Amino acid sequence: MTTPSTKRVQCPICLESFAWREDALYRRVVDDSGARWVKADLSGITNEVKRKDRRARCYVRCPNPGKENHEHYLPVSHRDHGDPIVIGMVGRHASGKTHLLTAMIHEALRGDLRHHGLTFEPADELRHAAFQREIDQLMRGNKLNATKDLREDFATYLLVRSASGTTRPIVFFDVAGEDFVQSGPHSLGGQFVLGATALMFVDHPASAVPQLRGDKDVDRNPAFSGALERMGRRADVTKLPVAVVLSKADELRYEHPVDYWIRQDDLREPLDAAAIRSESRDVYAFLDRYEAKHMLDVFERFERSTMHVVSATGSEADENNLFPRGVRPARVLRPLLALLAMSGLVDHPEAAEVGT
Amino acid sequence: MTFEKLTGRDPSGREASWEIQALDADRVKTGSGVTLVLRSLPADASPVELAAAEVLLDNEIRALTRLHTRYLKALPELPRIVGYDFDSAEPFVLLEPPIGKCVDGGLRTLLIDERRRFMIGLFRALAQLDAVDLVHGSVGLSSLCWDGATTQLVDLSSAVGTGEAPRLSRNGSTAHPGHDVRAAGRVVYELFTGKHVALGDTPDLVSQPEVLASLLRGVFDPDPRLRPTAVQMLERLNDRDPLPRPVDVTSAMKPGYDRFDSLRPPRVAEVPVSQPTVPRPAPVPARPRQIPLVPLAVVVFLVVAAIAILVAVI
Repeated sequence: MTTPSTKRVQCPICLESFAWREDALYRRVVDDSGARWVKADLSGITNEVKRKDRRARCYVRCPNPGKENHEHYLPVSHRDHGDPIVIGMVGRHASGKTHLLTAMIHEALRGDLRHHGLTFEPADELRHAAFQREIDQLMRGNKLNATKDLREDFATYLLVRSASGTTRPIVFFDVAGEDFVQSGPHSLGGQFVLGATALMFVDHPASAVPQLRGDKDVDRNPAFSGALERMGRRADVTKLPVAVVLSKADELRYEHPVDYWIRQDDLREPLDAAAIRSESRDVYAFLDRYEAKHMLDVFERFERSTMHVVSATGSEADENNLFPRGVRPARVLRPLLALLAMSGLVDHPEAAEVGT
Repeated sequence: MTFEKLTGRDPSGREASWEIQALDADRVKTGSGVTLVLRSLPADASPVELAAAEVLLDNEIRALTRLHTRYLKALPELPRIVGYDFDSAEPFVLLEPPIGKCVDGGLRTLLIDERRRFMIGLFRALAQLDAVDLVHGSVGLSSLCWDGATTQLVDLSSAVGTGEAPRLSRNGSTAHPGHDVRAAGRVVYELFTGKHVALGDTPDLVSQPEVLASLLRGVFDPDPRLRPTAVQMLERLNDRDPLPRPVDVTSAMKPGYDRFDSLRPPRVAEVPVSQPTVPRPAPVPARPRQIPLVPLAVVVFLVVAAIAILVAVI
């Protein structure tokens, strides 16, 4: 058994801090009687390597000090590295958050950011198994279901290693758009914004730029306004790194200047703050032209923010919820790269200029 | 024969549908009796070939929709899009048929005035593409049609934005309008001489008549930036018809650009402290102080003269 530690950590789920203790480790068991958490006994394992391997698959139960959330567990690696980078996806229902996150994690785990010295690996076997099923489903050309309401948990938990050898946990939250505006006990789903270290605000053309096709203006973005309202209680709110993302940009693939950016394949090129600024500037001017005030407002509120166009799937799903020519993500890693650069995890002199 | 419903988008991106009836491999007739060209992906192709065909189709739709949205009226020298779809299992582009006939077979029978009009049409097409930042990328006899009065530059499947790298090319070069001018120069050379110029070859203009040599002056310069523009070629051809002016999309976005620049001022390039490029004149070494000789001589002269006058008076 690991020596008990008194280090305090903040739980990314309930946002309470607690003394991290490994005298009781847990693992998830699924058998005929269902799925449940059981205590893991590593005391009989004397082989150090084997013990490390078994420990890495264990969880620590959060004592849930606030008693607001359901019982929840954190992967044991949560305290092995530095403070986690907690990235939250904020966006209304059907804005494309889930497809974006799924395509993004798929490419990150595939190693597509290694040219920037960043490698990723799953650190939460249990949650990642569920997330991997989503990835597999999407890559087979199936549209994913909408995110379930009132989801309090994070979507996936990875470790990211930088070129200089820094390893940090990176946690992604993806909750239903409606959860940002729930009140009372139902407000827990969107509360991750209170502990997030970086945010991705996502909206899609139909609601962000309805004027483009002559449609009626959408006068509210309750997910954005709800998240911003809750974040207003944080003293450091304006200092958070933020990426504002126009998703489903394949719908605009023939619109200037989206047509240029969506076809750019520059992920292997060295980090270039000027190129990131150039995309942000073009997207800002495009959104300004079509009065996408909610996205512009978010960008303006933060001291370091970038704007991006992405397509998680490459095309619309058909009436059978299938992507008929397969899934072809475009530029899904650019917002993540920008956030990690703004979070100080990209070892490149240009990183300090990103989003400024 | 029955009509099928084809659904997609109109050139402005709005949902649209057409009733069509296949005439042959790439032509259809609409319910209103209009004949259109329908271009789609090859049915029997390997995944690699299919991926390349998708890029070509995407290039063509992108260029045609840009021409449609940037020019308020149809351009006779360039093809016109009717509709498209790039999301479904069978993507397509629907076009108005090209004018006249493809000139792939040669143009030796053109009269001098027809030849001039043919060249004007070719360079008007290039000037109109250049004005909306497009490079055709595959100008040649096979991409030109001629109806006896107008030239039309068709097949925009290799067209990309100026300064962009063509996606099917891996040599890293970026598209420049000068590439189109050079390719058009090869067409003009063949038009005059009947001799085909291979892709990388530079024809010998010195041995050609002055009219051709002066028309193509600089067109084959190795540096595309030093070649004449399509507009300059039209000036050489004495074309006086004004070119249509495209919609300036940048001006529509200028307020947004200005606001962004005030929110996030561009990084000021660190300019090294400039050193004087013109050498300063070398400091003149201080010379030892000298008594000026001329004033001294004058003083001596005046003193001597005064003494002489005084002696004479005495």
